[in-house]
Amino acid sequence: MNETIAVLIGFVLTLLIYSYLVGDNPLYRLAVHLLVGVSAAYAAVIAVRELVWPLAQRLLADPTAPDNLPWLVPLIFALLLLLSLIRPVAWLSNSSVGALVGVGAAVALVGAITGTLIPQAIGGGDDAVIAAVVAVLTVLTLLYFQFTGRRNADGVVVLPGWQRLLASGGRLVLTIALAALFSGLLITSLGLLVERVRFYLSWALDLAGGSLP
Amino acid sequence: MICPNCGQQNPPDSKFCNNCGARLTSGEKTGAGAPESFPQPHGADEPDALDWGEDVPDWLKPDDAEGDEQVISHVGEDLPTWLLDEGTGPALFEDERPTGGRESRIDSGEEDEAGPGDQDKQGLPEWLRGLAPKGTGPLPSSRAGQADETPTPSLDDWLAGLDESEEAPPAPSWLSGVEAEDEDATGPVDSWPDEPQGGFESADDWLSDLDVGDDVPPLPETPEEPWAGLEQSGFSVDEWLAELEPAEQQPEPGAPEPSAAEDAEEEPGVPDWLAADVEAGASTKEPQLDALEAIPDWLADLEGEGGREEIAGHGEITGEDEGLVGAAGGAGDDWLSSLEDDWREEGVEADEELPAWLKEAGLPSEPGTSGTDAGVESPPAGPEEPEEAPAEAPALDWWPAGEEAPDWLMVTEEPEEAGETAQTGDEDADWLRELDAAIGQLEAASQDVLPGVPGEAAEQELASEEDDLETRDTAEEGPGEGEAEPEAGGAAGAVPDWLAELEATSPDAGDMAEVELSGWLQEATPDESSPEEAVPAEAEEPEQMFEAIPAEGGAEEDLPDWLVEVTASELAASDEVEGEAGRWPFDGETTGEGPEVTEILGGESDDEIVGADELPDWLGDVVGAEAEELPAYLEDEEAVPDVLAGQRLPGWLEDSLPDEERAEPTPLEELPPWLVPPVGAGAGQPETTPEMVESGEWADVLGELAESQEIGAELSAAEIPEWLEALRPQEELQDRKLPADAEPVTEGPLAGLRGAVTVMPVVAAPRSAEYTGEPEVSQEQQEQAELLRQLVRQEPQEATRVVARERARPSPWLRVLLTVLLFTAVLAGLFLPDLVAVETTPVMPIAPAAEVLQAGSGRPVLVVFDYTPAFAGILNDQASVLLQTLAAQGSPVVYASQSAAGLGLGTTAVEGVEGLQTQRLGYIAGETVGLRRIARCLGAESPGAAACESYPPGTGEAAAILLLTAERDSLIDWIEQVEAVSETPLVAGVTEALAPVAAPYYATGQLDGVLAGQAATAALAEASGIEDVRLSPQPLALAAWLAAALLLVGNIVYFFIGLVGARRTRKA
Repeated sequence: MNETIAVLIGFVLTLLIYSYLVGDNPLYRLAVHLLVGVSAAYAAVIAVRELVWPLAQRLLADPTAPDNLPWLVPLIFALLLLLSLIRPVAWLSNSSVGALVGVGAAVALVGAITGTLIPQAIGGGDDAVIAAVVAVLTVLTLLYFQFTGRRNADGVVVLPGWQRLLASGGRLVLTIALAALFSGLLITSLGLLVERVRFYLSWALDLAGGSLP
Repeated sequence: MICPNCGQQNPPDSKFCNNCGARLTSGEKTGAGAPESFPQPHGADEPDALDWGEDVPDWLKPDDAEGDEQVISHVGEDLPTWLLDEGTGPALFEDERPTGGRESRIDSGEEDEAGPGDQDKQGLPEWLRGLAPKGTGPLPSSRAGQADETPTPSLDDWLAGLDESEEAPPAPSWLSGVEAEDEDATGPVDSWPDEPQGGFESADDWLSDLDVGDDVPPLPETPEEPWAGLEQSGFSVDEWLAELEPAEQQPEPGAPEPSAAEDAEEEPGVPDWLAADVEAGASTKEPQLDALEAIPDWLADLEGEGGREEIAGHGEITGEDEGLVGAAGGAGDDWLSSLEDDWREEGVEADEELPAWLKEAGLPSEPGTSGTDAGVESPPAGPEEPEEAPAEAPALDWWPAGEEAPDWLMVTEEPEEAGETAQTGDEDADWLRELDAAIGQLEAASQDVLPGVPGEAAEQELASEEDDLETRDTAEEGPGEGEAEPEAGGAAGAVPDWLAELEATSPDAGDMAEVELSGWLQEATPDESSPEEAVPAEAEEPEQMFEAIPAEGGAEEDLPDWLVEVTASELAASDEVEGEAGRWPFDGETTGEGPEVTEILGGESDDEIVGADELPDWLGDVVGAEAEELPAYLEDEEAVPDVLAGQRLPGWLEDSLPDEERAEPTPLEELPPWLVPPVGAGAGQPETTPEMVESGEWADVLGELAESQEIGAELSAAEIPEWLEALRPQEELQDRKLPADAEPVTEGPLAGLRGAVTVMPVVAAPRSAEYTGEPEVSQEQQEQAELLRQLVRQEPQEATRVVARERARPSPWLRVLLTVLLFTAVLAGLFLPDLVAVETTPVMPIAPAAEVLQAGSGRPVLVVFDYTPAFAGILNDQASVLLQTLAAQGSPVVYASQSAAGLGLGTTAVEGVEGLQTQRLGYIAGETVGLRRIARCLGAESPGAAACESYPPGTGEAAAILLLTAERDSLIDWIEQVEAVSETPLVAGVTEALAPVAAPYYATGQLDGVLAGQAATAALAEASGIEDVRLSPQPLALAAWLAAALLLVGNIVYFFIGLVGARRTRKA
């Protein structure tokens, strides 16, 4: 029973989301809000249960343990971050936010350099042609985002001819990449739709004593 | 202390006699016996008060260190003792306290010594010339203008007689006594009458020594008998004094006055001038007397009787002094004779300037003037007292008999100074020796002038000529004197020109400024060029100035107010401090011993005084400046001459007056309009006294001025131009415009107020702009203006266009159609599985992924569920296949997730696989940071390392990482943060949409395997033998084909729609 209710709720919410096919409507928004809300709440519960509660138990059990002292720093940052809700002392949360953003950005930067840029630049594999093509396409893509040029007599900034040509190549690369991404996304979406249709058909058929072919 | 002059008892600490004002010296003996010495001059007490020149001989300089004895030693060489007493003080050249005739004597002696024929050397000695101001010309010995005139008899007359006397003693005994008394520096001359006679007995003796030459006459050593030598020589002091007596009594009205010639005959032994010198030397040298002595000769002559009366009014002269006064002419005739000789020799017309030496030694300095003034202040021969003039004749014995000496040469008015001069002449042995030499030169000169008349004859001739000169001088003195001196009246032409010139500067002429002085004399005296500068000298010494004010010159109202005040108040007050502040020149000489003189002089009036404005400037310096008080005759307001009474000094003269004596400023009524200060400015000015208003002085002066007119009176009335009216202050305009019965304001904030200023018409009136011409606008400017108008119009139209775009959105029905088509395709695939044959091939090979999983068989595998429920339809099947595979090869699973929902999905997935060993690592917080932390644990060499303490067991020992994610960031983070750090193989199970992202990493080897989408899952399940996972690719394929068809159709449709739209746009 509970599963049926859950499937029904799920089915209704699914219909609400799919209502977007006919345009933005309140049912879609409601479904989205429910999804976001439930997801956030679920995330919060997961965070508390998986992070805060275990840490709290640990610190409360032996606050003075040497192994627990390093946790004071994130704890303080967390408390300061909560002060952002209090306007007079909201500025105290800036340190926590700054630490999060700064540290995250730094780590991401290092990871991007060591995990993506360098491996992708030097890891063309054994095929030098592919590596060269990848490099050229990468350069073309970067040149597409180069908007620096000279201002003509009309006051319009005009890129040089060779830059415009290369930028066009980069634009083509981007289009292909985005098309691949979009197709993958489309396939994914169709796959998800098929799965949901099949799921609910199966459940409905199961309820009706039927089954899919 | 007993006054040596009058014998009056005075307090011990008195310095001056309370009775007669004579100086009381501390060392003076009270005895009224023999004259002990002359009173010390002022300079003797203050030797350092004067800056002695280097040229002044030592014997003239005061020397306190050497004392009296040393001074006396000098006397034996240069000067007689009596001169030493006088010369020890600086008063010789001091204006304030003259020594009385000594300088005059010196001057005359030096003149004689110089001789007439030596222009360069005949002048003053170097020390005396050094006294003259720098830059002065030669001494007036160059008066050659008198050369053609009859030479004036000089000393040679009487000296010749002296030469013949063989019985002349070396020095008169009386002089010896005087000399002895000089050492004590006490003994006033007033004590002479007690024992004077013996001293003159030897007068001829020492006089005879004059002819001896350079031999110094021995001084008598018996001071007790000063007159012995003189009496022995046949000279009778009594007679001599008797002869002098009339001369002193000249001012006495009605008294018979013997002529000069008669007196000369009566005194054959001792010349009158010598007697006068003797008496003058014995007289008390009061500094105040010098003030009167400074009056020039001509001034004294003009004063007439007033001069004597003036003297009598301020001091008393003893009989002895009077006797000596006559001898003062002797002192004067010395220098006069030399002077005349000079003039005679040069033969040059005398100029009108006073001789430099006279200015130096005679006029400005009292010592010099004593001898000179002795002759100058001769008894006046005014019309009131015509008989007094002849009484002066005995004083000038050198003057030719029968000739009347000029008044200004008379010495009877200066008894004290004349006496000093006489004494000087008696005792100055060296000096007389020099005189003797000079006389010889004079004689020689006279012989040259009169060739053929040798010796005595020449002298007589010179004497006659000199008599003629005196006669002329007397004749020029005026009718008064001419009447009083009938003997001289006929010989007026004999007066030399230089004397006439001197007399021409008399007050009768009324213009003292006409007297010209020599260059250096003018420098020595205050500048008289401008009255403003000359006045201070007079103002600073008012008492000296008024000494010469003639009482008969004007009415009482001519006296300035300030002078009236002075005479009434200050001068009256000065009597109270007379004993301390100072004395009038004759105060100290007024004794009871000379009652006759006192009476005579006391009876004189102050009517004959030279006017203050007529007194030359230099006279202010000549007159002694020490006396700070007005003379006695001015102390009485009634004695102020009518000329000056009630009168005001001119402004320029008042400025020079002392503050206390300065007259009040000119009343405003008398000031010209342009000098009248503004109202309120003269609040502090004194009011004009009635006397000032009544006095006619200013009225006369102002009457001569042109009548002042009011400023602008001469301008004609005219209208103020408009432009000027426009500049008038608004306040004034408002005041004029406001009517008396102004209506109150009825409106506005000022309602109810009367007199409110109305709004200016200019402001209230609308402003009308007038165009002077059409503006010139170029074609370009017009185009620009038109363009601006278009832009303004187009701006709202653009907003409308935005609304039009919204209308162009696709129809929702199209979306519904698409939705239906999609669902149709899906359902068709589900319900029609065989409708189309679909062979699924994974985009990326699954073999590498299966190999990694298979390589980690039996070892823990970290399965990460980083996907959300939205992708659960795809990834749950993939996770199920993978978990079953792991479960099948016996690999425990440690599952974790960076997403909260993923953790739940993972748990569900893990729990849905049977026989799978699982470890829940849980939620991985911190994204990249959390991943970096896990990476440290996964790469740990030893199991259970510190980095893996917080992780479930086996995390660090994971054989592979199986990442199930539908998010790009999750895939990238795991690749960059974990795979790049650790050696653990990473297999990514992703959706079809994320396959393009994972493909490059897979190509570079950063991903060891990729399972992309349902196709890969199905292939993996088929390869793993898992059957319960049912995958139907038909619905997906149909949906994909549908989608592809819709995209293609859509692009075509929109392509054509676009073309159509473009055409419409172009057409529009």
